[in-house]
Amino acid sequence: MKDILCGIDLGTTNSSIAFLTGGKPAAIDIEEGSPIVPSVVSLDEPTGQIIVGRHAKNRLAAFPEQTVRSVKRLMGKEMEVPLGKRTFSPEEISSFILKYLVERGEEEVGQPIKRVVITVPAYFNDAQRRATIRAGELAGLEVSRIINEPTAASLVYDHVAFLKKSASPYILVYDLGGGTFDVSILEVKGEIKEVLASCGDTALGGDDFDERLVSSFFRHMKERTGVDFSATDRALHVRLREIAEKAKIALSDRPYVQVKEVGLTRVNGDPVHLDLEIKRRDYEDMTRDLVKKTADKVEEALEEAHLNLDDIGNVILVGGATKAPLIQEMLSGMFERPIYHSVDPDLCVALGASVQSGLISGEPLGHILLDVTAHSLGVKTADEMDDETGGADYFSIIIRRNTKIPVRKAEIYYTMFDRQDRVDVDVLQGESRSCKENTLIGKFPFSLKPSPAGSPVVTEFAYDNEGIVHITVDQKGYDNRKEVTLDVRKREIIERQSGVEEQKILNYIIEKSRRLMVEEALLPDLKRELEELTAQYEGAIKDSKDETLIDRYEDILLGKMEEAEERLGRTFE
Amino acid sequence: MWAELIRRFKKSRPDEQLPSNKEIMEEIETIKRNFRKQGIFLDLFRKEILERLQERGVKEVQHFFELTDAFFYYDCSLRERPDLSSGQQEALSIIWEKLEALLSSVGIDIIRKVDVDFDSRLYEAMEKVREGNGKPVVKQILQPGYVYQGRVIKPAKAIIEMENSESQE
Repeated sequence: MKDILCGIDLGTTNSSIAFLTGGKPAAIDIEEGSPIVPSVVSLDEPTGQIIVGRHAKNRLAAFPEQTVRSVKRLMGKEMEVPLGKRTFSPEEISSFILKYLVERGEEEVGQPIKRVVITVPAYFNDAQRRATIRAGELAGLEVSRIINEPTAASLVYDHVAFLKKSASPYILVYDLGGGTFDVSILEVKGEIKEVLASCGDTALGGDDFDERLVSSFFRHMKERTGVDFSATDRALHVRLREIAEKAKIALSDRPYVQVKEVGLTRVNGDPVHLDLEIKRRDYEDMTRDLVKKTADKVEEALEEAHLNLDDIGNVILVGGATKAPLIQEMLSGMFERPIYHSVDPDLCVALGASVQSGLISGEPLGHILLDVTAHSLGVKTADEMDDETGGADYFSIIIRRNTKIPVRKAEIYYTMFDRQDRVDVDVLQGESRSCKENTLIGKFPFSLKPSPAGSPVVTEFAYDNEGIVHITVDQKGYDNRKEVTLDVRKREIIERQSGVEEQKILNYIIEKSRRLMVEEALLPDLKRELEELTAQYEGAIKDSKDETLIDRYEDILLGKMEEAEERLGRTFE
Repeated sequence: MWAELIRRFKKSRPDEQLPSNKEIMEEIETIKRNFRKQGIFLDLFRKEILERLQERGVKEVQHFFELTDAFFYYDCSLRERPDLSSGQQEALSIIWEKLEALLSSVGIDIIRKVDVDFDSRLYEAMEKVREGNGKPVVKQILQPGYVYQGRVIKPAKAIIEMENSESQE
């Protein structure tokens, strides 16, 4: 059986493995449906068995002498790591992780894995890189190449379809993981990507953001009970950390989150609960200094590379913690352009390593197709006014451009006057701060119940794969909400549910045709014909031309799509 | 349309006029067009079904986890009260039985057993309170865990202690 090419992100906290399937990278689920494996190794002394991953992490507190984590920090050092009564070199421990990933990967994919590309931090020296290669060999693997983590991340974005290539050769990779922060600047020189600068903070990560929320919970509990709980109550701290992490994730998509938790602890025999609302704005105030620290490191890296902010072409976000809107806003402000991530930031290093494995072996690489929003989507607000008309003219973005869809995001807005009777919800798409320069795709009124000025109105957009946005406007605390469905492509509000289904089919045809167009194996003439026919069909739908004409265009387009699929050796579905 | 085609291929009477080749080709084209449209519809339908099946997964049962967590902590806070009567204790046990039956009906198993051998698939040790030369045993649950459709969605966070060989005997 033919072996498959894989890339491995051998991380300090977690590791993952990805492979190329049909020229496209995909992460492999390793444990309980998850591709993310804790980089922890434990020895079960009675049986002599080596345990890796989540089970090993679960044993850490039970068998601390037989378990090791963060072995990556020891790579390249001449030392022995004790696991119970036995000792192992750091590369032996790493080889256990690699072997586990590969064996589970083989089981999942059903093909052997022999050759791999492994990633290392940009700051790893020769000894550390050699130790990583040795770890691969000990795991019985052929290490095709060792590549830098930021280089791997940027490789994925090189192969994402629809993304414009920057004219600048400089790429900044901002990597905020659970416990560490790294920023690297790469220079693209033809096929080679050279690391110009790399710096970071080994004691800064997403966990610090959780801790800020934990501290706020402790303060809240003290206000309610008068008791200072922040002492060493292990059980309470464990629970609050979990609550904080959940709240942090929710705040990435929503402007506020309700925390309702029962029986956290007891005071004089009475249970103490947590019932509070956390606003994203307050959470961002709590963590602003942490974000500032990372911004300082970005400046430091630029200085080290002798570059200015304007010199940077692309900014790539890596690590789960970069999902926080404040981080994206900070970087967007710094670089004066929208910064986003379209590829899962937790997996893009492993995915990039698998792309590198394909490049080495000469395997044809296809474009990575992502379902992303083509434009930013938002509403008009009165945060800025139009000088000429005196009307509201600020485009408040709810879903940023190139966000992976389906997606659900919400923002909070406030009424301007006492007893304001309505708000006009103008939905726009585009990238300008001024609504006049963006495209209006729909508008509808929302009647308000009598309330004082500054009352919150939450607007939520749920964008699906077929370009349909379900909008919910909610006058918070007044049991007053309205739901509207909008077709972004056709730029109109869909009144009936049946209309939604019909529109979904039309949009699906366009989407499918676009997917065919980016196939590299497709003949240029056929590609051009598809482009023309799709534009014609889409134009007819947008202009609401008569149904017979739309139907005729659709027939011609479907026929051409069938021809394209046949040429690509597929069955038309 | 179908009638025309069938008529073309079945044995016809001598007086019957057969459709022209052009008419037949047009009909075949119409059939092909309809098949393409049906194909697109079925493709989209299949995609939607797959998406919905994926969405049903853990997200769909998240509210069960939250309710069970809330009851677990409420139960813990009540059980620490010295004045909890045996009737109240019994009531809590009955509610647990009913809740576990409900969870089981949707494919969820809660992990909250104590005084059982520590299994690193189901439990995450957070603290070890007693050393010993025997095997580890779960002594207290800090946070319940869940198994959904055979997968450990979340291991239970637990305090464990090591048994002594004597107590094992």
